[in-house]
Formats: sequence, structure tokens, C-alpha cells
Amino acid sequence: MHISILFFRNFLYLKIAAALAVVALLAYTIDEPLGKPNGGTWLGYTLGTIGALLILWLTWFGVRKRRYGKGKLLLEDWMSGHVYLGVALLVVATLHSGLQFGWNVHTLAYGLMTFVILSGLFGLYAYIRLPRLRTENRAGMTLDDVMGLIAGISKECYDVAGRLDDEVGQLVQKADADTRVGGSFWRQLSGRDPNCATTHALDRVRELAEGYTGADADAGRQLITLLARKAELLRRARRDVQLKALLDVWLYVHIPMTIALLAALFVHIVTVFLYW
Amino acid sequence: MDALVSFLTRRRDGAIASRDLELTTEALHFGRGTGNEVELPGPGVMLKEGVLHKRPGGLFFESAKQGSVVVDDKVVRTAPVGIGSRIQLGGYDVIILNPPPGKDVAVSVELTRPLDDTLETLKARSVTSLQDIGVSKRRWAWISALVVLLLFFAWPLVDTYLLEPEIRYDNPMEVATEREPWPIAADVAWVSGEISGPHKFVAKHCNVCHETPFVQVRNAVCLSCHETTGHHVDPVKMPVSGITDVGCQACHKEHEGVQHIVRNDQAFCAGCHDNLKQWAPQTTLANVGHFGKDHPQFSPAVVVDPRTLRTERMVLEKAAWPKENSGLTFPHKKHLVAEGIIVPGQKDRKVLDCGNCHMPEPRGLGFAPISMQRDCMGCHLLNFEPTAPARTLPHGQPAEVQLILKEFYGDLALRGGAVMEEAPAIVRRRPGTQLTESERLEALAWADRKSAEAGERIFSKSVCGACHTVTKAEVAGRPQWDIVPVVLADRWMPKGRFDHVRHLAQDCGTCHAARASETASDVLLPQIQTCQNCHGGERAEQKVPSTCITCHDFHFANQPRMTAPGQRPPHRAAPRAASTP
Repeated sequence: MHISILFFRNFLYLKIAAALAVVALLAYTIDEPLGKPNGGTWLGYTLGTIGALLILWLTWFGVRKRRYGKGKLLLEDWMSGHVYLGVALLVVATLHSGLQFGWNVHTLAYGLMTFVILSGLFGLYAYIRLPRLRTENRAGMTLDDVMGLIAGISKECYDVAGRLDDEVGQLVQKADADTRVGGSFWRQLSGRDPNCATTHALDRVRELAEGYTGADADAGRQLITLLARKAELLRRARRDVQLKALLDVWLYVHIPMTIALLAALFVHIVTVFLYW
Repeated sequence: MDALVSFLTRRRDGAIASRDLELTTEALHFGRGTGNEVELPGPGVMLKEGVLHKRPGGLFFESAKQGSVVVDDKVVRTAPVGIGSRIQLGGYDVIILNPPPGKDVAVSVELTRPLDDTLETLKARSVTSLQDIGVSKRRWAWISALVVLLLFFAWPLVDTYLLEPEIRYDNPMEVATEREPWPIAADVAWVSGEISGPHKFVAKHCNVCHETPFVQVRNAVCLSCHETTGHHVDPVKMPVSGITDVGCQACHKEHEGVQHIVRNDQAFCAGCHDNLKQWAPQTTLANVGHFGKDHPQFSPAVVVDPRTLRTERMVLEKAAWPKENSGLTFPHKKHLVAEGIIVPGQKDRKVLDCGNCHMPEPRGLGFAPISMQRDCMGCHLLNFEPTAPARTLPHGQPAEVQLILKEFYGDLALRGGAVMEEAPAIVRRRPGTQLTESERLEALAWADRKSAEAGERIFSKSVCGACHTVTKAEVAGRPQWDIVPVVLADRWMPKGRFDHVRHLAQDCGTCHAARASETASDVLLPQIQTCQNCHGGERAEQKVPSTCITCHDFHFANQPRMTAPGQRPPHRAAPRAASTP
């Protein structure tokens, strides 16, 4: 994924999508149906058919992207079209609804569709913006590199803590054994760990170090430096996990909601004719 | 400088193996990257950790970029190092050795703190990817799709077509009292929009209207309640495509909110009526498309013959304003004079306004009929004999009036005691005295004469003739009077609806020029321009937006019923036979 899909083929798919949206809007403005505009007028049926076909085509992207090198269109065509026509779908489907919403399966389908499109737009934003933030955050390293550095500092902390009292030894041991990066869904997305054992150890050692003198003071300063460095590396590691989670999380909405949308779309189409 | 780097590896038995690397370089770079002279593989080491320089003052170690490094247990950015100095780089210890001859620098490199365990446990504790927390997109997709299908498709289908018996109501009104088996009807999720207000009583019983799946609601369903509804045009005499051959649904769109099943948009009517001949070539109706701009002048149904009730549609043209022949003589102007009118028996004059006679109907749409008894007789007394002023004649019964006159004067003549000066002595005699036959005949002759005189006076301009057209005929040598019936227009424009009560803020005179009207033949209607002063078409911005339905009806009671009389729509079961004990 690259930002170039947005201006792929000189904005061809933006032009197609904009044309579709403008034609739909014009038709909606000109049309004077009996009663309120709704999905049951001729324009309503037309927009509904276009919308349903668009949904199927947009969903097919999930299949097409796994078939490398097949078909006449490049995957970039599909991707670019997926983005722009997905946004145009929002216009088409909204006009199809005639802005009539209620607590029913029809509005459910519309809601799911909107959710899918908005999550897709977030995904687009994420793919454009976040990889760069990730690289900057890791300063050219991989997450494994950062974890290795963290582990190295943990080792060094043991060496230094050996010259200090038992409480410090326990703090360092806990900071090694209980520190983790990422974790649950929300922990990954939040990018921080409020109960981080390393941060706790750092705070406590800072307090204890105020009472140190002589060689202890040197060791204390050394340990504080190491723990602070470890905490900073942890912050970067967690931020990296957060950015990666943000890059992934929208798909956890986008894809299941798309399949739910297909189900709701099916029910929508069948039931409006079942109760014609 | 010439350097010797010894990589030390401690075996399990404690023996130390050494691998030496000799090289000549400007400076010794340490780090994980392959570009370093001293490559330190493994986790916990940065790509570039730092560099060892030889300077005139000795050896210096400088950490890379903004990093820091531990030299001899001190955290520093750069530090002089000597023989025996220990530089910690990740898990490695780099120790400066005494250089052997021919070498400028010698260092040993040993991995003293292998990170594998620490790193592995850290990695094991950490979950750094959403894929690793057991959330599967595929599973969520299946679950959510299944929930949608079960909740909004399978369950309503089962509830509607399997669990609930097929209900056929004698009367759809019955459903209003029926209890739902479940608190929420399963198919409520299928409702495409709020049902119209009048149909809310069946809102939860979809199958009252949606009888058969995938079949549009049939007309019979609508007509099972609305059986008295008339057509717009006669479907036999004037079949009009799009009007008489379409289903109710074509125009009455249900599920569009509380008030939206009756069409009232201008375009709906104007679609045909702005060029009516195109649809109905034989029509005599004028085209109309827009109340403000394109509506024919009013053509009231004016009474031209009250005897036969014949009316004619006459256009309200200023040049030839229609004249009505209602059979009534009534000058509005005389009754509405500003100084008031004289009322018998009252000292003061009474100032009349329209409301004194034109009483609104209870609903206020129109007016109650004018009544002689209520509206006129306060002034127009129907007494006939000055010597008996309390005696009055009945209104509206000319034959009765003539009989009463005959009987009154006959009775007076035979009974005697009349006080009229011009009466013969026999009529003025003391009551109770016997009459001879000749006297009786003389008295009756007076009575005949007197009643004829009274009739002549009463039916003349002075009483009946003041308001009515009176005819006089000779029957068996006696005069016989009759009154031409009065036909006051109840609605001059029977196909238009004008709601007076909604125009109360206006003075009556705005539309009805009654104060200047001297004769009842004036058709006191305004031209359409008066309405157009305030009312415009449907989308008027500075006038009252008015559509056709504002004044006109669509389903006419005088047109054939949508349901032929006597024929019950098939939807509805035959009515239960009335049981008699």
C-alpha cells in the first residue's frame, strides 16, 4: 500500500466516483417522486441496484487481492477504485435511502455500510500516515532490536543492583520479570502500561538513591540511568505496538462488518419484496 | 593503527577459546552491523555502539550518536580508556589489553551476559500484535453475519409463517384488540418506514395488508375498510389511464411517516390536469396546473330556475357578472346600513352584520341555512289584522295562509263582535245573538271579501312580496296565490371546498361585497384574484402555499364506488349472521 493509489492513473477512479456521485445527486434533485423520496421509487430502485452492485464489487476486492497477477486490472486499479468508489457508495446509498431511517434491518444495513466505509477511510489514513511514524519511533531498528536492547539493559541492571541493597535487587528483578510490551487488545492500542514494573522500579530507586552516599550513590545513579533508558526503550516499543495495532485494528471492523453487511443487504433486499 | 581483537568463548568446562582478528584501521567501530570492524552479533547490541580511537593522549571510546555507554561501570558518552578498562556493549564486555609488539591496540571481546533467556522471556510475556490475542477477523465475520441472518431473517420468518396462524380478519379493526404472542413482533425489523397515522392500529400486524409474500398489497385489502370510497372519474364512461386502472398503492405510498399516505402534491394533479385533453379527449374541464398562475376563473353553479332547481356554471366575468334567480328578493345593502335598522317594538335601531343571519355550521366549514323564523321574523312580522296584532300567519305555507284568513274572518263574521269600523253592523253585533239565514249570508260575504282583501295585501309587496316572487291565479272565481320556491345556494362551488372558519381573521367583506349589493340576484362571490392575493401554488414563498387538494377532493362521493355496491371485497370474510334469540 502506498499513497500513490490515491492518484493512480491520474485520478481515474476519483473521476469515476465523483461522476457517479454527481449524477446520483443530480437525479435525486431533479426527481419528484410521489411522496417522500425513498428506496421504492424508480430512482430509488436504480440507486439501490447500483449500491448493491458496488457493495459486491467492493467486497470482491478481498478475494481479488489474494489472487496475485490475475485479471485484466492491476491490483492498484482495484485498490484505487476500492477507495474512491467506496466513498461514492456512501452518497449513492444515502440517496437510495431518501434519508429515511428507522429501527429496522434496512437502516441496519445502511449503518453497517457506513461503519465499513468509515473504518476503511481510517485504514487509508493509517496506511498513509502511520508507517512513517513507526519508522521514526523505532529510529531505524526493528521491534526485535528494541526488545533486545531492553533485555540487555535488564541484564546490566542486575550487575549494578548487585552492589546495592536487597530492596533494589527485588525491584530490578521485578522490573525484569514483570515488564511486558503490548498485551491485551486495549493495552496494545493504548500504547502504554500503567502498571509497568520498570517505571515503578525507576521511581522507587530514584527515591532510595536520595539517601545513598559514596559508592552506593554511584551505583544508584548508574542504575537510574539504566532504568530510565530501559523505560524510554519500553515507551518506544509500546508506541510501536500501538502504531502497528492501529494499522491492523480497522481491518477487525472493516472485514467482519463487511460480511455482516452482506447478510443485512440480503435480508434488506428479500424483505422489501417479501412485504411489498 | 594496527589492532588485535581476541574473541573469547567460554566453554562448559571453563576453558577459554580465543579467536584472533588482526586488522589495520583508522578506528575500531563496534556494533551489530556488518560495517563495524568489530561485529558484535546478537540481541541487545545496537547497529553502531561506538568507536575506539587512538589519539596522541591515549585511547578514547566514543559512543555512537546520542547514545551512552558504560565504561568502567560509569555511564559516559565518551571516555579515555587504558589497559584493563572494561566497556560494556549489550551483553559483551570489551576489555583493553596490553598490546603485543607490533600492535597499537589489543582488545578482548567476550559475551559475558548472554541475553537469550532474558530476551526470550520478555518476548514470551509480550503480545505485540493483534493477531496474537486470539481475535480472528474470519470468526467475527461469521458470527456477525450469522447474528444478522438469525435475528432479522430466520426468526421473523419462523415467527410470521410458522408460529403465528394464518389470520384472516372479519374486520381489520379486530386486530387492535388482539394480544401479541411476543412483546415485539419479530417482523418489526422489516418495516421499511413508519406507518401512516390512521393505519397505526394494524402497525404490528403486517399480514393484515401484506397477505401473500412477494405480492404487492392488493386493492381489495384497502377496500375491505374503505369500501365507500368513490372514484375520481367514472371508470366506465371515462376510463383514464393512470387513474382508473392502477392500484391504490400507485398513489397511496404507505410507510412514509405519520401523515403521508394521502397525496397532496400539486404535481400529482397537474401531471394530468395541466393538459387534460391528452388523457381524456372528451373532457369539458378546463386545464389547471398551478393555483397562483394557471387556474381558471371561478365558475359558480348559479341557480337559474328555482322552480326546477336548475343551475348553470357561470364564469365570474366582471363584464358580465352572473345573475342568480334564487326566487328571493333581498337587498343586503338595506339590511347592512351603518346606522342600523328599525326593529318593531324597540326604541333603538339595530346595527346588523353578516353573523346576525349567517350562522356558522358547527364545524365552521359553511353556514347553517337561513331561517325565516330565526333570522327575519324579528322584524318581518307575519301579523295580518290590525285589530288582532298577536295573530300571525305561518311562513312558507301559502295555501295554509289563505285557509287561515278565510277561517279567521269567517269565524269573526259568524261570531260577531268585530271592532273594524268599516265592517257591517251584523259583524259588529254583540256576540251571542242569533243570526237569520240572510244575516248569516251577509256576514260570510263580508268575511269572503275581507279575507280576499287581506290576501291581496299580504301576498303583495307589503308582506310576502317584499321578499318573494308571488303568483296569483283565479280558481273557481277566487284568487289563489302561490310563492315561487326560494333556492339559496349552499355551495356555489360544489367541487371546491372553502373552510370559512380558517378565514375568520378576514372581514367577510374582503370576499363578499354584500354591503353594496342591492339585489339578491347578485352572486356575492369574489373572483379568483381575491384568493390569489394570499394564496399561491405549492411552492409559493411569499404567499400561502396551496395545492389542489387544499380546496378540491379526489375521491368523489358522486362517482361510482371503488367497490361496486353490494360486492364485498374478497379479502374480507362474509359478515357474521346476526343471531336472534
